[in-house]
Amino acid sequence: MSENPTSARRRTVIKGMAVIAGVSLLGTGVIIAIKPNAQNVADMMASVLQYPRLAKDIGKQYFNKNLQPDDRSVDRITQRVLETIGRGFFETRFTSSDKLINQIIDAVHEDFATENVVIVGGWVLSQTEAQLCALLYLSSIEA
Amino acid sequence: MFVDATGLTEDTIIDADLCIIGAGAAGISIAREFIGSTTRVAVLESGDLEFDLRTQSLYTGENTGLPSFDLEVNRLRYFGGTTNHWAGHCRPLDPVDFGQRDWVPDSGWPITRSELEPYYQRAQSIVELGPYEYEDLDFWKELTGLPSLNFDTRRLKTAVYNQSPPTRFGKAYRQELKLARNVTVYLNANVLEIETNETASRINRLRAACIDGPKFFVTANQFILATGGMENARLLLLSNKIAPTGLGNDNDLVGRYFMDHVLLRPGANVSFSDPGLNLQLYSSTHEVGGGNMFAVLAATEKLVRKEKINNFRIHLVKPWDKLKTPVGRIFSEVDAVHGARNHTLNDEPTRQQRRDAIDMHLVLEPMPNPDSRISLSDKLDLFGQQKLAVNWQLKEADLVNARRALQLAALEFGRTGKGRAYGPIFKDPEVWPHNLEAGRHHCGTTRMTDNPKTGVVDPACKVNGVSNMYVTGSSVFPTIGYANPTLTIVALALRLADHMKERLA
Repeated sequence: MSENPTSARRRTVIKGMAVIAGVSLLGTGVIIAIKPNAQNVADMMASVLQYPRLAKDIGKQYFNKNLQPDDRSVDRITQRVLETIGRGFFETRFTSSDKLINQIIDAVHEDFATENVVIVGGWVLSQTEAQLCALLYLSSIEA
Repeated sequence: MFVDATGLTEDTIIDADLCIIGAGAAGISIAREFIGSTTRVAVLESGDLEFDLRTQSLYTGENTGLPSFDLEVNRLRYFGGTTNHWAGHCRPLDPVDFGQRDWVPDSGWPITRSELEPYYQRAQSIVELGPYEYEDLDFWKELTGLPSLNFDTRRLKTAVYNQSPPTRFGKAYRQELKLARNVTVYLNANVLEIETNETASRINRLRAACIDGPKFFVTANQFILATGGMENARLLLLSNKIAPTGLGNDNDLVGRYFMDHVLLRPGANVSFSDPGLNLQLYSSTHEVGGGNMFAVLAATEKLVRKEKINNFRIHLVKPWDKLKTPVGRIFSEVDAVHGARNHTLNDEPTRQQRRDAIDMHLVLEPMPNPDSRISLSDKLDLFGQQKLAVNWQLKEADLVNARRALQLAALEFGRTGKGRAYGPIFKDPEVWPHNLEAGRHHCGTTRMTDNPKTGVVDPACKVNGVSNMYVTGSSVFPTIGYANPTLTIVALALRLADHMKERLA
């Protein structure tokens, strides 16, 4: 049986993000994201990452070592993510993670195409994925 | 025929039309071109037919430069030369390598790739390669049935390498040289000095000797120095009785611009998004089409010009291949246990991640650098001759280029959703990683230019200011691209042989 292209794509990009954390990934999650805050991101990422703790480690390194002090806030990082992925990321009620995942995939690939990348602990990462990881990290602090 | 020079009587004078000093890839290639002709050729080889420690000791010297350089092991001094242990990786230099690049000081060959093309084609069979096809990737993809990476060709291309068996010149061509009536290979024949006339404008004879005697001389109409990228310079520098700074060294260029490929093995590691990613085209050698080939990632000319970066290639190597030995498996088990406990993001990829990963081995063209040089040491060899002193230096731009080359590959792996790259050079960009190596491709010490003030040899490989002395081999490369040098060494040797045939006619 042929695989759902979106599912395959989702797995590819999230594994791309997760591979640096040394995890294997699972499948579909349901995203309900309305307000742009770290908790929403945490919920979203928790739904697709098998080991969100590892993504938090990335986020922590990025937050503490790569960001300027003025940029170290949920609002600033959220703003950056919105600029990249589009406002629909937070403002639309998603009924499945597929659309969201595709948005992330496109943003991440575009980051690499345009060299919108960041070095985190020796890894070459997309800014978008690093920012999402930072939001996940911040959500754990807030919690 | 072969003659053991230890059997010569003291002060023998050997006379030939053409004398070739050195029997490695270049020397043997030239000698073969004259088999059956009326030209009397004398080939002088320092070593014997097999490895000998005392002869090899003549290659020892001092390293005063970067510590990554091992003089003891990277050359062999016996019949066949360093082809007795070369890896056999073959590819012509790219056309862009021959041109003048404004961001590479002292770049620009006085000849073009197209001028060398017919000689590359002839060299192909000498090193026992398959079809001469380096540009048409589809040709090889069809033969192997393997996919290539769909990287942006504005950044990186898939470049084809041919793999020689590898040809051991000393064995492959021994018999035909043995049978050649007009070519005499003198074994154990060490050239100590190139003696000239009073103005150092013409070679009169060579002073030579065996380690335990006798001493003898060689006269010839024309002389070709083909002793390798380091020794060519050393012999010119040692020949300083008439020319005080050494033969062909009026402009203090002999020995300068010493270059070697910059190696980082690995330079970075890519962890895959898709463990099933098929990289066999790159990670294995394939016997197809009557030859052997593999592929590498390489800079495109467009990228080189746009980024003003030196040329480079990246091998994709499975790290796990190194651990297939029984001992390797033990370490693998231990490491896997450790990796399981350490299952968290840290600086380096865990061993588990490396299972779904590939190493990127970078081979970078260095900047020509006059301060990187071969000179004469105060220490003496078995003949009382000054040994080599090697001062291999890199420029700051080389580190910048190395980092950028690996980053470009990292970008493409990320852009295509295939994985993410980790490398110490990304983490600590100001210093060379601890695994910096030299490529054991010694080049540049008798550089070829069309201006006597900037080069040691002219476009025909004749030593400037000396009417009957030529130099061939990688020492004449003014820049070195990313390709391994042997195919170019053989091509240049064939070109010089053609020139010499005209000259001796």
